[in-house]
Amino acid sequence: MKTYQVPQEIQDANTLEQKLELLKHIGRSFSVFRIDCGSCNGCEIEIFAAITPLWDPERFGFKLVANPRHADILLCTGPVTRQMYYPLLRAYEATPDPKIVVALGACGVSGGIFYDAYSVLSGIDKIIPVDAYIPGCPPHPASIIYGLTTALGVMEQKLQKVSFEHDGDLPPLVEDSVLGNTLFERDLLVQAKKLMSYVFGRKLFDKYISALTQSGNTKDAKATKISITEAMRVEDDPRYAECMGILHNEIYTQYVSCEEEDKIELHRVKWGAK
Amino acid sequence: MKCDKFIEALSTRVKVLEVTRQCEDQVTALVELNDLPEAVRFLYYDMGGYLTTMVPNDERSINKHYALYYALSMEGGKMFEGDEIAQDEKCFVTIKTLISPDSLVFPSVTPLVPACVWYEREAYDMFGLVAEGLPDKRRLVLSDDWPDNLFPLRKDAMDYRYRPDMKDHYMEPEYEFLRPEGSGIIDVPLGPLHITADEPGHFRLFCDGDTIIDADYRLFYQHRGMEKLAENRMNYDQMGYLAERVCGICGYAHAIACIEAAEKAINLEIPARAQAIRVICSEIERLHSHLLNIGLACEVTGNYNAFMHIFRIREYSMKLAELVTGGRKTYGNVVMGGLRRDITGVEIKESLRILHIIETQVDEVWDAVMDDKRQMSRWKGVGILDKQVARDFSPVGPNIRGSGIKRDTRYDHPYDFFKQIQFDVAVVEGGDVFAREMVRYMELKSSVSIIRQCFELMPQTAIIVDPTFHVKPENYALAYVEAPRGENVHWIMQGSAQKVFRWRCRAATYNNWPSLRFQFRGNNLADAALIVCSLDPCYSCTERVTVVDIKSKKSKILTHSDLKNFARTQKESPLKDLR
Amino acid sequence: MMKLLDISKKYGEITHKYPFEPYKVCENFRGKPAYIFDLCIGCAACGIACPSNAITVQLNDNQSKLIWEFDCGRCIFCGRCDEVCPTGAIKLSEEFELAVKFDKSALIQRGELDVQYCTTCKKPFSAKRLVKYSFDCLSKANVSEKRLEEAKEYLCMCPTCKKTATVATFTSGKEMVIE
Repeated sequence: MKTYQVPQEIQDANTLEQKLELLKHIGRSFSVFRIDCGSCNGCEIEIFAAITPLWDPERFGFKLVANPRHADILLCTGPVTRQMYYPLLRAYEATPDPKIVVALGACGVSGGIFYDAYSVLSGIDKIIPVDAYIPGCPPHPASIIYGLTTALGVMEQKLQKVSFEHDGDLPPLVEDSVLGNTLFERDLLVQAKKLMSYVFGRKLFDKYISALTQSGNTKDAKATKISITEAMRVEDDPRYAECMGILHNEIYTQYVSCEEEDKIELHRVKWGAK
Repeated sequence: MKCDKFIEALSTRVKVLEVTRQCEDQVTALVELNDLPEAVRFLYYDMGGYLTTMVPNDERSINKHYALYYALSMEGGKMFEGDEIAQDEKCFVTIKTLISPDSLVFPSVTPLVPACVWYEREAYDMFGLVAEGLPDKRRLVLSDDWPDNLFPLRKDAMDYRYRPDMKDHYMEPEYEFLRPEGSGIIDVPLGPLHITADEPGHFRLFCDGDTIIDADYRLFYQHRGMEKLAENRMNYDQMGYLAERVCGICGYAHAIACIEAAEKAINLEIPARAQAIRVICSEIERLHSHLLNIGLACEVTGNYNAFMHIFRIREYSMKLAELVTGGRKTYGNVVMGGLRRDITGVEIKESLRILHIIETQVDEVWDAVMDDKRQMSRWKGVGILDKQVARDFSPVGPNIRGSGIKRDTRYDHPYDFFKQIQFDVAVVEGGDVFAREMVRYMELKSSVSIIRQCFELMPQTAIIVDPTFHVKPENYALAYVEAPRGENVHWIMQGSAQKVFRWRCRAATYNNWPSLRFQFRGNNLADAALIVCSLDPCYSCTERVTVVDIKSKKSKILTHSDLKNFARTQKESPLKDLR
Repeated sequence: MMKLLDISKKYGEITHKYPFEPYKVCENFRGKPAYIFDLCIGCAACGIACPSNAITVQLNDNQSKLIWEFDCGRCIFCGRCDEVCPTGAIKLSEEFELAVKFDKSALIQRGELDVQYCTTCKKPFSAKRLVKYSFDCLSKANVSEKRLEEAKEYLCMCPTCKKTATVATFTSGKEMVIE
């Protein structure tokens, strides 16, 4: 598909040397014009949040301006929808040379989740040359501040391309099971994730396993009941405590033969009573 | 059963060919094509319905026809005390009709029910279905340079990645605006690029002197083709994330509505804890969105001080979201069957602390704003949405509640955990900007209380069900979530291979735009930005405004700051040297 | 009006010192996914789960390596990869300082894994690590010696050959015992 070709005179006025020269001069006072090229507004809201008193980018001279003719930096968001393609180009050509273009957000950088839809053009850099990229969906205000200060050379860029090319020796990936059957750990982890999601479920899993090994004999239903109950008692967080009990009742009893009395009684936890 | 009453009444008016039930409170009645306008009008005005959404669908692979689904929320007209259907009889009735692929024409409902106007324009854009009798047949959704006979949502039209060639940008296609007749009318375009807030959109305001006499607009600058994308590339686990990116402000409400539509289509009940957390997250979203809007309503009128304070408080609500979901703006925790992220005791304690801060500080600032007579005089009596106009156009959210109509999906059709939660629907009479901001303030207070109630009642269950459910092709259902700006409605027809057959997403603002021109009329040009802002698309200002006096053929280019200064000071009209 | 000034006075200066002092995000913030190459087994679960296709797992041009590639520029930070990864090779970090200048390729992380060739048709079909991992899992899951031997054979076959081999076993009248 045919898209915009940057006219020769704009190219000539926007070489790297000229841009670096501009950056040297605008150091502590630069004007930013924001173009929404069909983003979901998430990035707009975060830019907005970034200019509020909590972040206050005017400390480094960042100023949003109302007109591309006043701007040094164009801050572009969104995957570039067809309908915004023309206004984007009008704004780009209206900005004085040399101009710095920053693509913000996953959509602006590469089209994000919309990258192959029919009504978008997959990112700012498919249309006009981009000088700095700020990923995030949407970027945290701190990321935006970081991105802008990096573009100005105040901060150092942290990311570099990482490529691993040699398959080395592998660390042992499969640990021994506490019950001699890894299916137990598998089911336990699945249930833990169902109870407390992947973020906290893994912590829950670790807590439960360490409580289980505390019992001395993991295959003894009586001993494990005591050690799990004790772990639940000392646990600060009531949610972890109740979930350890649920795990024990639902998973452990499937792998070790248990009586009804070996199950742990769960109490209703009081939340927000304070 | 629920809904039967309405179907019985309907069958006295028109011939109902078939009735199908999707879930407890949703039925669909199939009617003849020619009976469509009367059936919709009857349910809308005579039985007390509001238009929820309209879904055109390409069902040629199923029944060799195109189908239209007009979904109405049966809740009563609510125009006066007692004009409301009993709580346990409220439901959704969908009128379905089939269109032959040979004719592609259907009778327009818009002349009888004005609320349908945008839906029927969109049906032409996306499917090529012509509404006979529709007064306004211009393009709505697709870009101006889109080829004339390509209808993207037809199943056989094109690959979802197909991108027709762009035009040369010096030859940018023009959109035809509707302009009123008469001399001395000044045409003020607003947009599409502008500085302060959200979406790109292009407005034409028609002014006589400084008074707006009419308005027209071209929106959908950010049409990204999500519905087609979802039908082709996404499976159910991924769709929630796409839906979340419909809108950056009420994205979470979209994500829940989308996933719940898929869940409703197979009658899947999710664990109580997941329901509670969904409610908590959506109320957090309401907190930050309402704070944003109140802040902008101050900013547009030049009250920077209040704006900065409100945004300072808003950062606490963002912190709350970051704490509970791991992201400030996109929460990314909804999947079919439940949730992906739990809340532990640590988060609950910290959340309660932050909630307390938000509550006290919001009161302080709101009190200060209320005390400011100049601020009040800018808000009161501006941008009035008449109650009858509201009834005709089915707007949603604070926009309609500010006009004294008690419509709130959380109350009319309680979903998820709302059945167990007590809250008051914020309703304010007046219909002006002040009424809408007052509704938002009251909802801030009730959101805080709802989040607290959820924490107190937090159930001890898992957060996701066993993935043993089966998706059934051709099942469909509606799901509705009260987003900060009003109800978001998603309609999903399931397809095979873990994909949707058709996904229709209707954002709250979609229902609010068509009545905007009535809110503009008779107001001062200086209040235009404020009126749009009070709708909460946060449309505050524009990059550049061209003013053309048709009579004297003089034109002048105004900058954003000219217009904005005028909005703040109300002195030195930028148009004076044109007269 | 004066009330607002009182409020300003009450809360004082609230601006974060960032970037001159580090900023701490909340615990469990969804930041940049961190890739631990040594733990990756090339199972492609993350690639299938990723809603924006920021992660791709593909054979390279001459089919000698399996390339795992992650484009941070397209990532939407949903954490699906973290959720589905069986070995913890990809985990969301708390890193939010992601901006890069001029060269977009700095946003890319990639790893090249040795491929496993099918013992029958000699075509590459999976990563060597995945085969080894699957075998290790089975050997610690109470499976009998005989069954383990069979598994070793089948694990090194591509799906097509596996299907053919299974059909052949059935039709030749050999008995399959699953314990």
